[in-house]
Amino acid sequence: MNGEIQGGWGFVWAAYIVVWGGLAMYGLSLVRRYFAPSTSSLPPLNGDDEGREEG
Amino acid sequence: MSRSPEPARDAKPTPQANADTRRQPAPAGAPRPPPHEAGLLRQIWLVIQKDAVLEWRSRARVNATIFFAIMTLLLFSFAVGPHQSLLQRNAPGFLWLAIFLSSTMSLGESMRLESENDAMDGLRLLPVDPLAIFLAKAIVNMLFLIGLSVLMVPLALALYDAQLALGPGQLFIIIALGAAAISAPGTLYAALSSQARARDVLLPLLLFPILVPGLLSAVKATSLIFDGDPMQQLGSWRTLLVAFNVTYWFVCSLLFGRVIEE
Amino acid sequence: MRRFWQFGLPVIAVACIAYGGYVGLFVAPPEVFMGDVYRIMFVHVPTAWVAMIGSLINFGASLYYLFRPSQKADALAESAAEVGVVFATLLLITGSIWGRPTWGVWWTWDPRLTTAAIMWLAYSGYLALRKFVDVPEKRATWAAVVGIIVFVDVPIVWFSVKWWNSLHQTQSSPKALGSEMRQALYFNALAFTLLFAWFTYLRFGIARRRQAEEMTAPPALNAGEAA
Repeated sequence: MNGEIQGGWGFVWAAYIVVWGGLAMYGLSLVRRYFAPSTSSLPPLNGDDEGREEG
Repeated sequence: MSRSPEPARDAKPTPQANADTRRQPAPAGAPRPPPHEAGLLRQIWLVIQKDAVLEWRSRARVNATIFFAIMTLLLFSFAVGPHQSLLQRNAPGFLWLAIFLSSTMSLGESMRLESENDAMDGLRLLPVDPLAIFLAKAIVNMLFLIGLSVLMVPLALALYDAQLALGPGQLFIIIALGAAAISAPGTLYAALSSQARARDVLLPLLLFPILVPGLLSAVKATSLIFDGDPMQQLGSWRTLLVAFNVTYWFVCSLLFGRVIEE
Repeated sequence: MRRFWQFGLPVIAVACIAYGGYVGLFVAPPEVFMGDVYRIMFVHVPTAWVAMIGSLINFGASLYYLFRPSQKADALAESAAEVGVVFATLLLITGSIWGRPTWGVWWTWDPRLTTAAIMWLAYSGYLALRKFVDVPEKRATWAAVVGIIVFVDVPIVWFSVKWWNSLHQTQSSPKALGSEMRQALYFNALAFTLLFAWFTYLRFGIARRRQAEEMTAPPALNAGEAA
């Protein structure tokens, strides 16, 4: 490594946007799942991908 | 010893045998059953015998695994191209990758016999300590991998034009350590994945991240054995392999019982 | 108390992250060698910190579960792992983004990043295992076993990769940090930890509700459960 790295703000913004954006998206998905009305009384329609049926 | 020889003869416990032995209570919270008639070593030996007999009966699958390993070695050559120096330099990596990939087949095999026809219940109800079951299966897996590696080494040396600068003895030690490193967590994860869905995918998915240190060390050590070790680094890698083995044989021995319990 | 966890904590966490970002981007001075690129550190390092916390909590909950099977412990283990993996994903991406201007490559085999990648795979496997097991008790027990094995692997992976890479080590990271930078870093780490706490709280609630749903599913759907 020799000398200063000039600029690079593009990378900095990219990193910050990825982190803040990613955390925001994950946070929103958690909030949606957390506050969603419970649908436990309804059985899955035709085997969702959690696969409650045994093979 | 009236009960123990039975598992060797009957691969799949009959419903009658299951019904009889089911009278023995074995819920999770109950006190352990009274001391076994056989000591731990004897139990291990009995389970090894049982597995060895069953493996022999399904030796077609064993053969297929060997051919898979051979094919993997060839595939690497085709993928990389016929550049002698490149192949030679990467020979240790190719060798160990072939062993690793083949292990997913052989490890699954050791538990497949148990999970077919719910023989896992039969396994649980054997008057055998889970520790003995784990050690027996892990040892059998290790021996198989050692055998597989010993077959693959000459092939790799030939295909990739590599040499054994430090001799076969050193290499055998590394092979044994590497095989053991794969077997301990591999046996536990095989027992686990054989009872879950998507078992073929789950075993490598769980196992390979854990084995990375073992893979690194084995490949590094092997490359030193192939190419020479001017700076005396082989000992360090061997130590790492030993440390890995000690850790995982210990931890997996402790945890295995929880994986096969009802 | 619940209101605080649900609504108060996120407000505090987001405020701290916003302020931490502001300080990291505009207030902290440029670094001697890396100019302004080093500012990525203020989001990169905290994600590592939080991922490690997640791993530690998962290990603790897993260990606890094996001694005292508690659904709460299982829910905590699951939550800590999932949230930890989210942060670990960001860790790897920011590590890559940081590496490009610094060392000219999108990936380096630097021990920390490499260990992070392996642990990301390991915990992703942990989460996959949970998806592929239907019986709740087995799922919890096996997940606990895997959680312990993965955690035990961390130091082994770290040392082996460090050794492995020391033969080729050329990269170095910023050495001493000025006190302003260090303060900004600690503050950002705190902010991320608060956010982690909130995420884990929500995820824990989601897991607990799903546990309850599994217990009360109509009998016909329980056909697969162990008798």
